[in-house]
Amino acid sequence: MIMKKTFYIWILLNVWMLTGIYAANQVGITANAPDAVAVGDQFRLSFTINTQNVRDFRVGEIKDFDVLMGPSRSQQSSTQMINGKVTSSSSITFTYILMANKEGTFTIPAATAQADGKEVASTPFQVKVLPKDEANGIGGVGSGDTQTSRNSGTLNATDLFITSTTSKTTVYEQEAILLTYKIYAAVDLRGFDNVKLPDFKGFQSQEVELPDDRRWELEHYRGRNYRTTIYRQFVLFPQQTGQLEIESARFDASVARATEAIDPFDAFFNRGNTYVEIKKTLTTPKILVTVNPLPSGKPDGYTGGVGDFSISSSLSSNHVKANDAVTLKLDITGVGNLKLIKAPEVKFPDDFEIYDPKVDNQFRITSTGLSGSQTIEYLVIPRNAGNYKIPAVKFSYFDTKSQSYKTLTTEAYELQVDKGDGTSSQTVANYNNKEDLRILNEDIRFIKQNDVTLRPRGGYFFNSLGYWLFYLIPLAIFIIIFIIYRRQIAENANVTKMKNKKANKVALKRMKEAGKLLADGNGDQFYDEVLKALWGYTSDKLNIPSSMLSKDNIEGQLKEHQVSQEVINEFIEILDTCEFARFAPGEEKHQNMDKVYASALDTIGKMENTIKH
Amino acid sequence: MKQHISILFALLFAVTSAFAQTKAQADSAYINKEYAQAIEIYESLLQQGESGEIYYNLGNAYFKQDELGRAILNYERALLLQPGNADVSANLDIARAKTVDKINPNPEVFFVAWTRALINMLPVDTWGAWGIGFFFCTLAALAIYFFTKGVRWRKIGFFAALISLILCIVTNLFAFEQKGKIDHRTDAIVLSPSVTVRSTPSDEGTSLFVIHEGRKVSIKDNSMKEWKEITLEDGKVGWIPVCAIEII
Repeated sequence: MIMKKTFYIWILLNVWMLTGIYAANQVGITANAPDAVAVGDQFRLSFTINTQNVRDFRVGEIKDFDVLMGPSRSQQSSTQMINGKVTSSSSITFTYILMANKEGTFTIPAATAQADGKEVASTPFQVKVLPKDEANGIGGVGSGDTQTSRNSGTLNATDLFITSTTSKTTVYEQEAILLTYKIYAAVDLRGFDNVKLPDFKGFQSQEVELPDDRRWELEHYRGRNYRTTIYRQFVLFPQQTGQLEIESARFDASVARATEAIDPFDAFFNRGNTYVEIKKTLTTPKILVTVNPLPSGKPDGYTGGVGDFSISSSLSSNHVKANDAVTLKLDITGVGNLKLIKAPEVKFPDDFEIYDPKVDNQFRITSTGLSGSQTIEYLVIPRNAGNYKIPAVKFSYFDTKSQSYKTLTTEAYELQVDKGDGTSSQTVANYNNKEDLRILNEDIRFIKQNDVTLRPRGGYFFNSLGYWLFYLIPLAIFIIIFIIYRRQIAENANVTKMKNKKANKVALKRMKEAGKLLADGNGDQFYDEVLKALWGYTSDKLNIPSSMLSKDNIEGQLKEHQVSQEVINEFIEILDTCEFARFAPGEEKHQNMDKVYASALDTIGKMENTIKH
Repeated sequence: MKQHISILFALLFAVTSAFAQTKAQADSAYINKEYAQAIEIYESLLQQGESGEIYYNLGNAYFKQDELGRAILNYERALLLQPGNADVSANLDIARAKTVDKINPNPEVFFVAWTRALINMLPVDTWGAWGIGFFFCTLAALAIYFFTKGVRWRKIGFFAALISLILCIVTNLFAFEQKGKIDHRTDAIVLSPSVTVRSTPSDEGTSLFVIHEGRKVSIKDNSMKEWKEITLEDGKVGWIPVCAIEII
């Protein structure tokens, strides 16, 4: 623990002493001097070699500065042990004290030496010599020294101020502006508190990360030499058009100022000077920025990019199986409002399952905006086999250099999708190979392009004279035919149908007559009547004239009408019985009358049931 | 005489060919998405006469121009001339779905609705043609009845004649119904984006309700020139200025 602490202390010491970056292993010469000094200032120029085995150290002629002293040589060496590991380092520093005597930018020449047997050299560098500080007469601002002023207590506006500057004041919407807050201090600035920055209304702001160790530089500004540093920097993207105002920022600065000591004790303890702390509120002026709207005529595929971009694309594979994922990668690189660009739309085939694109931003903030790349990955899964086309992606942006829209296109891809393996693990919820028809869009059906004939309004065939003629003419023809052939028609209608229908009635009437004769006991007439009834009935029913009927052909005729053999036999037997009885002697006649009557009625009934038309 | 006839034919041919050309022109204008031009040509064609196809195409062109009221009007006219045309009814449904008003028609008894649907399956002349066809069937069946001797054939003839006669009468009734619809057009389409329906035929009348473009109304009282009394599908009644609507 203690070991570690000493290590830190040692490092701090080392850094303090060398005031340079210390390369542990590489042998070399590091030169060190302030970047800017004022005329008449003394300053220290040191060359550090990180080994002690140095011979033949030489520096080129330093002719632009007065060498007040040097080179003075000093050696440092250190050994340290951390957890039993011993490391040691050593170095030699050659120091000159120089004085600037004229304005300008001068070169400190390179130093050379033999270090560890090798020839090493430093790189030459430049020191800027600023004119004398007019306001403060002699001395001016020494680097690292505090400036003392005779009239203590108050602070001039020119002693300490902060400027806010923008890289541009007339920009297009979304074009980046760099806003810089820079401190100019001619006094000993201790720090800021209660910093109130504007809220950048109408802008999207992004702070530029500055290095942690702030470098103070000497700068000649309006006749005075100031120590300056960039306090904070912002990249602003205007989100609205018109006159936008960057409000003033407010800083409460505390400044240490030495006063002449009155109290001898104070003077003794504070090396003759007493420091008082003075508070001062600094405000920066407002800045007006004119934001012009982007010119009209935004092309298709414009997604809000302003700056200078290039685009490239790649497809993970152009030959896959169904249900395998395919990735289309778009790389947008360049400078501009990268963060605010929407992912360009890719028109994948409708059959694809499309997931939300994954956007990966890799950029750093520069004075012209965000510089870097935006990678957009579109993941799609083709669900069905086939050859598909992924059309070229159009990416349009507003080029701030040429002040016009530019459209970039990527290449189009052909994607060949083979049939998937069909294993259930590959498909998502594939319960059935059928899928519902997906309605992509609804639109009206297309026009009809066939030739048409125009008809006058209300002009239609129905109910016209022609229409009714279609009824009247055939009807008239039909009636004429009817009249011509009316006799045949009447015959067809009456002879067949009426006889047929009445056959049963006539037969029953005759049988009734026969029944009366039976009761009277009139044998001859009874048989006569029964015979008439039977012959008449068959004649009417079968539509055969009585003259053409005989016992010989009646059997065949009845069979044709599907009368069963049994009934036919019965019928013929009755006919035989009747004919025989008519010529039989008296007694026998009367014996069979009842039986004949009953069976005749029965047969007619049976025949009526079977012969149907 | 011969010369006359040839001139007449030439004229007829010229007229028909010129007409065909302009319809083709309108169709190609529609395909090239020059809907305004297509509308102009279709409208001028309709000055010469009617055609269901042209009304349909004109409705499509108006639909593409986002003039829903006129699109619906022309679809309705096309449907009047070609009832039962699936394309027309499909587009009419899409156009109606885009209108503002929600339509809640009074429910009809099912057999009335069925009969109406049956009548609307065919246009007037097709029903008329069917009627003539059935009449011929009747005559043929009667001939069979009169001129055959077999009882079976006579029976078939008799009943066929009876059924054909009934069908002939029914189809003629249907045709009359369709004819009545074309002759007495009582339905109208609202063309103003929105119009207030009033209780009396004047602007001072109480505002009853507001209907929007594309709404179908039926005219109840056609006696006044400037105002019409209308009925909505759900039975609401009111007066509407005539400039806001156009009769189908």
